[in-house]
Order: sequence, then C-alpha cells, then structure tokens
Amino acid sequence: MTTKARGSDARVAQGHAWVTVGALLLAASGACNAMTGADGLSLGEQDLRASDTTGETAGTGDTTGTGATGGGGAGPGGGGGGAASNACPYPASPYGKAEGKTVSGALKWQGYAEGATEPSTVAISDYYDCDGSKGINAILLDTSAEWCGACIQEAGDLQKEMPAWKEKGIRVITLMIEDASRVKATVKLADKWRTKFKIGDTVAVVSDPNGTFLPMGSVGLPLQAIVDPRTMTITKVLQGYGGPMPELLALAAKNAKP
Amino acid sequence: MDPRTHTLSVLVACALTLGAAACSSSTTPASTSSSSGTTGAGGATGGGGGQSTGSGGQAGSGGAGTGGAGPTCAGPGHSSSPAKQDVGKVTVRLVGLDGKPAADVEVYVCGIDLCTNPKATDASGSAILDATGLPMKQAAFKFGDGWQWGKFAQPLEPGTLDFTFDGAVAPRLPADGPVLAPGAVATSGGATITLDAASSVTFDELVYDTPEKQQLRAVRVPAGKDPPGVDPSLSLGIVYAAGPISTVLCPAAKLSVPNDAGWDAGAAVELFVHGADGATEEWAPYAGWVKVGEGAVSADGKSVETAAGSGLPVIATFGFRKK
Repeated sequence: MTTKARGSDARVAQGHAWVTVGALLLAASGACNAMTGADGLSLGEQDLRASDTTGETAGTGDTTGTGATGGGGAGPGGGGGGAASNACPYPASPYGKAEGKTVSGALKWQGYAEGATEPSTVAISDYYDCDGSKGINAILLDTSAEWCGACIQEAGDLQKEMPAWKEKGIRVITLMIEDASRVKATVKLADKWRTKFKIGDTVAVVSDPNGTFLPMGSVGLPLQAIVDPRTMTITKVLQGYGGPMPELLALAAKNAKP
Repeated sequence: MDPRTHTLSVLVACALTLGAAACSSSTTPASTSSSSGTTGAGGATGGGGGQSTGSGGQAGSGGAGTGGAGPTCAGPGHSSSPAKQDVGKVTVRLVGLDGKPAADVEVYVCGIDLCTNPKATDASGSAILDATGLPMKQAAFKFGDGWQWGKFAQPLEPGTLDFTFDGAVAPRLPADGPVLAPGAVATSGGATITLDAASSVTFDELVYDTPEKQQLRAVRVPAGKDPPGVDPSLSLGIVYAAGPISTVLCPAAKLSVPNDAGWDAGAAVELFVHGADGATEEWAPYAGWVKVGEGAVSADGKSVETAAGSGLPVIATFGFRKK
C-alpha cells in the first residue's frame, strides 16, 4: 500500500471553486440528488493519509465518483430494501478518519451492498441517518485483509451476530484491503469474503485497495471505526478484534431511544 | 477523463435535465465475480490450553465439508484468555535450508486478536516489523504462507519489547506437488499421505483457492535447523514444513516419513502439529503444538508411520518424537 503526500492548500481551493459551480447548477435545476459536503467534488487520486483537516478521500481503483447505490435494490436502510431518504444535508467538513472526526460523505467503494447479488457502488452517505428514519443506529466500518487471522475470526462471528445486530439497527461495512498474498483487494475478493463467511445478506463487503481508514505506519487489523449515523462522527477507533464491541452496542442502544 | 471534468459534466447534465427525478454519473462496476464455494473449517473452539503444548484429536463429525461429499471433521478447539502484551520491534533475517537469504517471505507480528500489516523480506532476507502501540494477545512472530514457504509462529515472550531473529531458517516448500484427493497416495519431500477412498479433503479456500495452491508440498527440516516456532522442549526428532496448511483430512490420514532420526525398528512415536493459524485455533493452539496421533517405526526401520486409526487430521507443520 503506497500513497503520496500531496499539498492540501491548492486542492482545497479547487474544491471550493467546484462547490460554487455546483451550487449554481443545483439552484438552477433543483432536480439532483443531494451532493456531498463542501469538499466533496474533488475526486481522483488523493492523499489518503493526509492530515484530518484536508478534504475527503476518494482514492483510485475501486473507489469511484458520485453515483447512486445500485445492485438489486439492496442497501442499508430500513428493512434492507433500499435507502430511505431524509431531508438532512450531509454534515459539513472538515472530515477525517480519527476519533471525533466526521466521515466524509464522498466516500464510496465498489463491492456488494447488503443482500446484493451484483456488485455496485456502496456509498457511506447512504448510511447517514440524521433522524433515525432509516432505522440505522450504529455503523461499523471494519477494515480487513485476507491474511489477517483476527479478521477471519471476526468475520466468522459477524455471521452469527448480524441478525441480532441488524435488529438493533447496527450496520456493518467490511472494507477489504488485501488478499492472502498481500495483493490489493478487488471486488472479486469482496465477493469471496462475503461468500466464505455467509455474510452477504447482512454485511456490505467492499473493495478498499487504498485502505481508506488506515493510519500512517504500522496498523493492527482488523481496524474498526464506529460511526454515529446521526452525525457521521467517528466515536471510536479500535485496532484488533477481541469479541463483542460494547462501544458499538452502546451507541446503537443510545440512538434507539425515542 | 479527469474525474473532476467528469464531475463537472455530471453537474451540467443535472442542471439541464429539468424535472428529472434523479441524476447519476455513470459508474462502471468492477468485473463481476463468481462466488467460491465455502469449505470446511468449522467446529467451535472449546476449552483447552493456550500457547502451551497440549493433547487433542479429532472431535468426530461436525462443521462444514466441501460440497457435502464425504465425512466432515472438526478440530477440538483451543482457546485461552491471555492478557494483552506490548510488542516493540521485531528484526528478522531469514535464510533458507541452504543457508542463502530467504527473500520475499511474508513476515508478521500477530496475536489472536490483531495482526500488524505484513512485510516481505528483502533480497537479504531481512525485514523489520514494528508493533509499537499495538498491544495484542498471544503475540507471535509469524512467517511463511503455507504453500511457497513453510508457515511458522514463534511466541514472543510477554514483558520483552524488541526481538531479533538473525539467521532464522525459513524452509522453502517444493514448487509443486501431488493432488490431495480421496483415495490418493500423495508424496512430497519424502512425506507420504495416504487418503482413504471414503475420506474427504477440505481446503481453506480463502487462502488456497487454486488447484496449484492445493497441491501437497512438504520438506523435511534437517536436525539443527529448526525454524522459530519449533518448540525445543518437545524434542521432535523429525520435523516437516508442509502445506497447504489448515487442509482438513477426514478421517485422519495415514502419514509416513523416512526414519531420518535413526530410531529403532518398532519404536513407538507421537505425532504433533503446529498451530500457525491464529484465526480459529481449531486444530492447535496458536504458535503452539499439540499431539494428534501415534505410530511407530516400521519393522524394517526405514520409515516412521502413524498407527491404524491414528493419523494426520490436518495439513500443518508437523513433527514426530519418540514416545
């Protein structure tokens, strides 16, 4: 996994220019899906390990640009039959990947949504549930690799846990970064993983060859980011897997309260 | 097309499509994939020793097999609840059985709850792993992939931060080998596995997902060249690196190796397997060893063989010792 550090100032300025253009066009048409946050129009290869104050990370390869989630009508909202919309604009930047930061709404990956039979774009913005109308109470972003024994253990446990977790409004996206030979992940790997562990109906499994949430330097996998769907704030980052995650369950319980 | 230009095009299209219900950019889904069948690695972990050597065997039917054909077997399971330990840097330099640098070998620091991102040894066989700030349970230096290189896991002693493995042996496995299938007599590196016609062979298809990777590969580790992960306290007189590891043989297959230890004809022996897989500890404790069978030196003294009803239940790094 290699990334290049790039200066952030020019890119942020470009992003603001694009936002201005986009806002004008939106005002004119009034007919487009809500766009992502202020920096959400900067696409292409970007620094995935820049400071938390930079714009969103989009990456190359299996991460792509704007678009609706497709693929058999599957999705994270409600009973799994597609995302219900709500009127809340996605939280604004700055975005980041550390605890306390907001997850960028521009993040998308190629892979399989929950219950999908075909690969498609899985967008983090589909999991934003500002008022609970989608029934999402907690999000787990689980960065895994095929060579990671603890990741395998966790996937096996997810198979057992997810039915009950879904009842609690917990949604999981497994982000695969590499296969057993440390080759960067592909959609095929995502399919292999979800098939192996029989989690395709309950977990979105996507290809994340650029390691969206990986920090600089050494990292312990699986890397778990717990996100509050009401604010898309990362409430906890965990490295490793030791069984039940009380923080995830507590967040789901908190958000489930009327 | 520059993605930013693409995005602008999308916005223009949206603006011009008055009254459109939705706008979307064209995304090209990645190539579709065919799903792979699940293979058996079932069985629940149960009570048992952690990193220490213990005894165990096949727990009888259970778990998932391959396509439902043949018997299914589950390992006894090994689990423990060790405390997390801190690990600093692990500096390694690996050499092959020929003493030459072992390059491009996957090396990790892994516990049962966490794995650091792996590295590959460089041309000199060297790598430095840094697990600073990543406390983990049952930390071990792990290396090899189980089909090109033997897979081993050496426990890292709690309380010590930095470790050095200089000149550690990494056994290279043969480039190819025989097919493992019910009814087959498969020999590699001198180790012969005899599979009953009514048996089943279940590969870990997550890792060994091609026929090439599923071939039997084995190489004997000469005396005095034990890699990290071989427990010296077991006094294993014959050690083999083998793969593809975690391949379940149900029922346990007869295993025969040349009597390179020079044991007396008829001498009773014990068979042990090594747990290099921290994912489930189904067959052996992680970074540990467990006895899985018994046997004896043949009447002519030429080979060491498992006894009837006792064999190798899973492909792994294995070893024999005199009972």
